[in-house]
Amino acid sequence: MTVMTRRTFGKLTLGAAGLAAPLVYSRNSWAAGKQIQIGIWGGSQGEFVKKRIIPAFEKDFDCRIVAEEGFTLANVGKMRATKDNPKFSVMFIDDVAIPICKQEGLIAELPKSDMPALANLYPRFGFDGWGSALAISVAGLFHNTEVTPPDSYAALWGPEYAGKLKLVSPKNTPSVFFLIVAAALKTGKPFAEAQYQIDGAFDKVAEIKANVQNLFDNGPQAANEVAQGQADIGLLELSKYVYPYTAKGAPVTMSFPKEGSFAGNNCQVLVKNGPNQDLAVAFMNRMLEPAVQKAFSEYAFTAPPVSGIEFSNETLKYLAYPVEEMDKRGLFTPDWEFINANRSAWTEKMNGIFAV
Amino acid sequence: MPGLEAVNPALTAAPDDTGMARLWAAITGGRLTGYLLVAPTVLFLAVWFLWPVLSMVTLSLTSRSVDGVMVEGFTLENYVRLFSTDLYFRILIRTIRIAVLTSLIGALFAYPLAIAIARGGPTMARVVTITIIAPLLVNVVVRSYGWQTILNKTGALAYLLKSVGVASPPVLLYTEWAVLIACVHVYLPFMVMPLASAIGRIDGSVEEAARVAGASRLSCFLRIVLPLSLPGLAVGVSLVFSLSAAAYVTPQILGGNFSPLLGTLIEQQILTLNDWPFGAAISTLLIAMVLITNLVFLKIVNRRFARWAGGAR
Repeated sequence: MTVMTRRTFGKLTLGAAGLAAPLVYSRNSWAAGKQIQIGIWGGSQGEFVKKRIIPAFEKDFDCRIVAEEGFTLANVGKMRATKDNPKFSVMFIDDVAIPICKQEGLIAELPKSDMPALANLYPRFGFDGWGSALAISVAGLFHNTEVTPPDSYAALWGPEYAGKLKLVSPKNTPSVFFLIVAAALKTGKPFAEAQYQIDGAFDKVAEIKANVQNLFDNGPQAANEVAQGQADIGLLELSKYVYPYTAKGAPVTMSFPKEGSFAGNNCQVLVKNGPNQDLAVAFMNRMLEPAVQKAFSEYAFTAPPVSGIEFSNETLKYLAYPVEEMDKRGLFTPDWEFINANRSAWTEKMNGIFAV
Repeated sequence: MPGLEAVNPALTAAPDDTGMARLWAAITGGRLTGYLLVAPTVLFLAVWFLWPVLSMVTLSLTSRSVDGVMVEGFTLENYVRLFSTDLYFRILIRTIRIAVLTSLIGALFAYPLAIAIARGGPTMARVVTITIIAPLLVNVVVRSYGWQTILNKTGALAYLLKSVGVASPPVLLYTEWAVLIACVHVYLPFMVMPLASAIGRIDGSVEEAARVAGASRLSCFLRIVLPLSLPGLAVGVSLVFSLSAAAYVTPQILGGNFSPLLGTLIEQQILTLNDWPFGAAISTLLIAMVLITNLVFLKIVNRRFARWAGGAR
C-alpha cells in the first residue's frame, strides 16, 4: 500500500490547482479586464463582502469590483441619481425597497438562465425575479439573559414592564413589525391580515408608551444597554444586530413570542442598464453559491436564502434555517408595497404618540 | 519741476461720465480693492451656501407619490401639511424652547468664565480658556455618549445621588433635560469666547471709577460690564441659538427620540421615508426660524446698546 506523505499531498494539490487554473481562467476569460461598481452595505456584512468575497471573485474572473458602502435608501438614492447614465451594476438593498426600485425602473429582472445558483433559491426570496435575498435575519424581542421574556407580545403592555422596554424608532424598518404586532393584538388576527389594519391600531400603540424607556435607532447600542441592565427587553430588532453579542458571551439574547417573528431580508438587485451586465450577473450568482453563503451566514449570523447549506449545531442556534425552521417560527415578510404606501402617515402618527 | 499733470495728465484729469472714469473713481476710492478682496468669499458662499439653499427651497415645492416616487411639478402641499399638523408646530416650539434655554443658561455660565479670562491674570486666563476650549477637541458624538453614561439609570449621577441619601434618583437620560444639559455643555465655548473678547475691550478704569464712587460689584456688573459687553453677548447668543436649534446628534442620543428637534424630523423624512420634498420644507422652516429669530434679537440688542452707549455719553 502506498502511503501518501504530507509533502506528496501538497505537490499533488498544487499540481491539480495548476492544471485547473487555466480552465478557470479560460472559462471566465470573457470577464478579463472588465470592471463594475457595486453598492454594498456598511458594517460587518459589508466588511466581509469587501475582504473575503470580492478579492476571490476578482481573482477568478480577472476583473475589478469597486465596492461602495451604503444602506438601503442611500443605495436607492444612488441608483436614482445615476438613472440616465448608470454607474452601478449591482446594488445591495433590503426587500422593503424592491417595489420602489421596480416601479421607478431602476432595476432589471435577473436573467435566470445565466444564474445557475438561483436553482437553490427558496422561491419566497426571489421577489418575482426582480432580485434575490442574500441574508435573512429574524426580528423578535431581545432581552437581558437574567430576565424571563414573555411568551406573548401582549404581556409587554402590562404594568410590570413600566419603563423597562426599549422600543424601536419609527426610523427603523422593524418599527413596521411593531405596528403589525400591535394590530395583531388589537384585532386578534394573524400578521398577514393584521398588517392591513394598522391604521386602526394606534390606540393600542399609544397604550405601551408608559412602558417604553426610549425609542432606539441603533440596534447594537440598544442590545448593549439591555445587556448592561439599563432596560429589561427591547422590541423589535433583527437577530444580526443582537446575536453577535450573544455569541461573544454578552448577557443579551433573543426570544420569539408565540404570535410569530419577522424576516429581515437583505437583498441584491441588478441595476437596469448598468455597465458590464454579464459581469454583474456573474457576481450576483457568486453571492448565492453555497460556499459563499455558508461563510457569509456564519460570519453575520444570518440565514441563507438558498437550500442545502450545512451548519454546525452551534451556528444553527442563531439561525432560522432551513426554510422549514423559518415556517416553524412563523417568519413573516410584510407586504412592502402596501407598507411603503402608508409608512409616512404611520410614522407621523408614531411621532404624534412618542415625540410630543 | 514739472507738475504731476505734466507727467501723466490722466492722473489728475477730472472725472467724466464714461465707464472708465467711474472705474477709475472706484479704484481711487478704494472700493474696487474691497470688492476684489471679498469676491472669493462671496463666490464661495454663493456656490456652497446660497445655491444649495435655493435648491433646497425649490425641492420643498415639489412632491412625491405615496410610494416614494418623485412627482414632477410644483406644489405648496408640503407647507400646508407642515403648518396644519399639530405635531410639527409642537416640535418647532420645542426646538425654539431648547435653543432659547441653552442660550440663556449658557450666558449665565459664560459670564463668570469670560470675566475670569478677560480680567484674571495670564495664568488664570490660560487655564480657563484651555478648560473651555478642550472639549471642542472631542467629537460631539463622543461627548453625547459621555453624558449618556453620566445620566443613565446606573450612571455616575444616580450613583452620586444615591450615595448622599436620595433613595430613587431621577433618571434624566431620554428626557428634554438631558438634551438641554448636553447642549449647554457642548455649545458653552461659543458663548464664552465672544463674551471674553467683548469684556476684554471694556476699559478697566471705568469699572474702577464706579467702584471708587461706591458702586457694589453687582451694580458695577449690571450697569457697566453687562451693557458694554452686549455686542459679545449678541454674537454668543446668535451662535448658540443657531447651533442648538439645528442640533441633531445630541437630541438623538440623549433624547431617546422622546424629545426630537426639527433636525431629527428632517433626517427621518429624508433617510427613512425617502420624502425629500417634505424634509426640504422642514429644513426651510428651520432656516427661516433661525434667521428671523437672530435678526430680531440682533435688532433689539443693537437698539438697546445704542441707547445705553448714548446714555453713557
